[in-house]
Amino acid sequence: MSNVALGRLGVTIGLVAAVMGAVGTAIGLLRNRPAMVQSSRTYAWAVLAGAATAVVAMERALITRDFTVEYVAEHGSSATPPLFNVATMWSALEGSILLWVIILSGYLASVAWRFRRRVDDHLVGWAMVTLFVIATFFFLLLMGPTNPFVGATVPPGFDGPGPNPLLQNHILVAFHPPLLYLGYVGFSVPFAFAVGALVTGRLGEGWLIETRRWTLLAWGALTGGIVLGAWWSYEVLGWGGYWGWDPVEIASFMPWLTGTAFLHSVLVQERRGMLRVWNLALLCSTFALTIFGTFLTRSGVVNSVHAFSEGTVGPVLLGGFGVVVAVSIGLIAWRGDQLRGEGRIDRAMSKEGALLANNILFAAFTFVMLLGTTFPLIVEALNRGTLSIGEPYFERMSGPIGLGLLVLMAFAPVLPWRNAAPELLSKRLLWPAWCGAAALVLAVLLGARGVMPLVGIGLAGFAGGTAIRHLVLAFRRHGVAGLFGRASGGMVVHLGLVIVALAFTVSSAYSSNGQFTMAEGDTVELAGHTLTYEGVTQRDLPQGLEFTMAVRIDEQVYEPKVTRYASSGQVIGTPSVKTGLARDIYLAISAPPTESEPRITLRAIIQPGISWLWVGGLVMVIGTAMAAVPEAGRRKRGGIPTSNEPGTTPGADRPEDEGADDAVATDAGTVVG
Amino acid sequence: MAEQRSAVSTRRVAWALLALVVVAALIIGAFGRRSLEGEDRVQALSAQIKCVTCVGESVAGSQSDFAVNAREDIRTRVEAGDSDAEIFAYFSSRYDDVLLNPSASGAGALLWVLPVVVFGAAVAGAVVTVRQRGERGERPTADDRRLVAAAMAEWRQTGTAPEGSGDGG
Amino acid sequence: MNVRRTALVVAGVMVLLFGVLIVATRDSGDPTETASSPLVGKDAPALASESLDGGTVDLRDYRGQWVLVNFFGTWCVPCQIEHPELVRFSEQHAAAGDASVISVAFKDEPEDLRAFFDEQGGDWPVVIGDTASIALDYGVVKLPESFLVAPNGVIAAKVAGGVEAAQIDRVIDEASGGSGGG
Repeated sequence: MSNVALGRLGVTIGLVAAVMGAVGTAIGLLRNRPAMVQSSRTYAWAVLAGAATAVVAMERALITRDFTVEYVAEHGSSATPPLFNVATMWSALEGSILLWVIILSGYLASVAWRFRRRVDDHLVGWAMVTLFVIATFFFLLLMGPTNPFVGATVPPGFDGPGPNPLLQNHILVAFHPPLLYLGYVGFSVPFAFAVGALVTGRLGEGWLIETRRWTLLAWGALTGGIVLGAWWSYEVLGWGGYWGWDPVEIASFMPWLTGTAFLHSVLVQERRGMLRVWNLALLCSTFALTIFGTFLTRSGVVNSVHAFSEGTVGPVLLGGFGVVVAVSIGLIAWRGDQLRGEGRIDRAMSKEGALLANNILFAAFTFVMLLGTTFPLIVEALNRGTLSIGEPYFERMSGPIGLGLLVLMAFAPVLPWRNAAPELLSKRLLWPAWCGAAALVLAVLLGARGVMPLVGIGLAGFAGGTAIRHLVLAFRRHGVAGLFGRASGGMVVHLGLVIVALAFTVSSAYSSNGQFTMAEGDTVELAGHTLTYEGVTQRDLPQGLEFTMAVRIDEQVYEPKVTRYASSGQVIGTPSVKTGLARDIYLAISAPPTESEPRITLRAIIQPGISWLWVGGLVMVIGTAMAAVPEAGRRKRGGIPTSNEPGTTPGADRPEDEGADDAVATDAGTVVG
Repeated sequence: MAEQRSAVSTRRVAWALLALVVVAALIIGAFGRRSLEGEDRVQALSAQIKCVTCVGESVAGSQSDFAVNAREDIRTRVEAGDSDAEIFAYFSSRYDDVLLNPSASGAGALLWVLPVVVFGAAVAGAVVTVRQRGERGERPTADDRRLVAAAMAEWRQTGTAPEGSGDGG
Repeated sequence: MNVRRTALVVAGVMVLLFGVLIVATRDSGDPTETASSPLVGKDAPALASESLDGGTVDLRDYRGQWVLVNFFGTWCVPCQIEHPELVRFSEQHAAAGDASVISVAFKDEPEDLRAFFDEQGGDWPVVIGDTASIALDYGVVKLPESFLVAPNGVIAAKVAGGVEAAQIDRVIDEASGGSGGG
């Protein structure tokens, strides 16, 4: 069977199964036919089978270089190394939607399997319907606007151009997009359960608790995906940076912001029964923003709003975004009466007060990102000329918000619920504050200057101290088991973020750049390091001509490369990076030697602490995994309590939780006294 | 009680000392920051200029012909001792809409004003909500007092300490 | 807090946003004949550099006539397509001596340029020295681009993409008529 036919068969099976799953389950739920609802499991597996068939067809076509598939003819090449050949599937629009579909189908089947004993539960049923509808939407994209299985006729001996050269010279390309999509698509699951809760009117906290780990999985994957993306930029793009506030990055950052806000505000709902509407809105926004981000990056609208009408995928994605927003608002408004919060915030200086402040900051952060990306489009659409927004704007806006978040990370974890006495704060914050002061003094002693970076370093140290304090206390109380669970895992994530914040501040404020034009044997100095250009070697590769420059820095030889791709004529550099705990030395070639100019132009960047960005990202992902483990003291009670009755009020005190829910920060003693 | 009071006063001293250290460190840190020079300044400036042939990239981060030329030009101007304003003025006299830092005039003003307004409104809304709710906050009723009294009586009888005995630190 | 009222407000804002985005999706209409540039209406930036024949070209020597400053590269396909139009424009005005062409070659080798002009025609001066910074001076984005410099040294128009001789003549006529005969 040809790959085009096999792929189309897979997409068709998936589409039919998704439609039948959505319609069948919905009818079964409305008419109360348990048998029909039960069949949703079968359809879920059929959707997965269809998507898997399509992926197999695409990968087979890519690996065997089957140029009768247009996608392979346009993006594949016999010169592409095998690993990048597999990764070519997500190097362009059609294939990346296919990646989206296989991951979504995977989630759909996992939900069907995980809740297999609860399929007749209407809330689960409506969640399945929602997932089926989302799957239908993406299968439809694969049928029409972004069909990856279009046949092509090519002359004998034809070879494709291969993927964009930037996407075939670093191993991270194989991992960054799948991980990012695992995060993006993962938010479909809590969104689907939110819709299920709204439809059935069972708006208690049960569904939140049941989707907690799904949300954590999505959030952790998105975090990891964003960090890997930054790392890829750093290793490949040759300018020493890792985050340029470009639309693609912001598109992944916005759902991360709302998702993070949700993970925090959901604590308030579980504990005090408040902020229900807000939490639903955050979940819906997170899911809607994943669609909106795809629209922004895939429709060409960023390039120019007028480029948008050229393809059909833009309007379809925008329409999908509109439907998500409309359905969300409609459902929340419909259930408005039942969503009235039962608890209340008595004092601003309390855990719930701090979490509210956290949510305001995250919402403001998201708003700034949304404004910065859409405002130029609006200005252009209204024919008011053009306007560019970039790094300077985003950096100036996010700086104060970031510092505000660090302040909250320093204070909030030690605050008890309801009310915090000043004396208690003074007691709990003293050591963390000294951690911050120590970080500040250390930075000054090491020669760091400038008020803003120093304030950032001090606050990061403070926030880190607070996180460590929690972990130490939890360890004393419960041993190693105390380090797992939501509260402690969350603090590990905080610690990771503190490391990221420190690395970001230090590396961006104290980097040294140099650009040198050098003939063989020349020596230059940069920030106390000696650079000697020792020579160049050439090598013929299947994809083009590769130059390797040998540059000696402090007795170590660096070998930055430049490849001139035969197919596109593009010259792509491969920087040479020596990573160290204290600093990275980054070498890239701006201009390779030519016949008329034997000298090379070399770019050297020395950035302190930058490798800690990746360490911090890893710590965040590990912390997320630790948070997914049931907490100490709860494990024995047989998992997470579920409450499915409408309007359950956890706002009422649950004394048995005082020790477990928030092992350290919650202090029964202080609530009484 | 006396022990507790002395702990409190020790903490006060520790906080005061902390404030002193932080202020001193910040004062030392505020001075002697070297201004950006040479290639560092080229990088900082090129991050604020749009790469007109790219999508969403600055001149600093792109390897396109335009970006390479523009960086070279900025380098020449930095070496010639031009001020930041002069360099920006040169680019904006040549290219429409080339600075990534939108000006605070015209439509661009909204970009700076809107976030502040929205943030202010959100904070005000939150404060009002908390306050209103705080005012409506119930005072203990006779029932509540009876419950407390019963619990205290039980405690006196059984000798069971109330749950949670304070913070471990 | 009234959930329904809030939802209504949010819905209103979203509808507004969608309206704008839908407005954004419509086509921009006819492409304008000339491109916008902050340089139009200002004195042309200095252009004095080494030329292909070994001498120097200086824009100031062309005061009193119209000059079409053309940025191009032999390796750029749209530039090859527009070349016959430049030849036609140059030939039409050669007799009267009221308009000339100056080309600025970008990222090219002298031998490629000579072969290109031998094959495609055209005998106007070609600037080859320091062309990257000249391109930046003129705010060039993407080849080919042309700037029409009026007899008084002011840039009258910028054309992004390939030029047509007739289109340039039209701009010259309009400018001459508008300014009361120049």
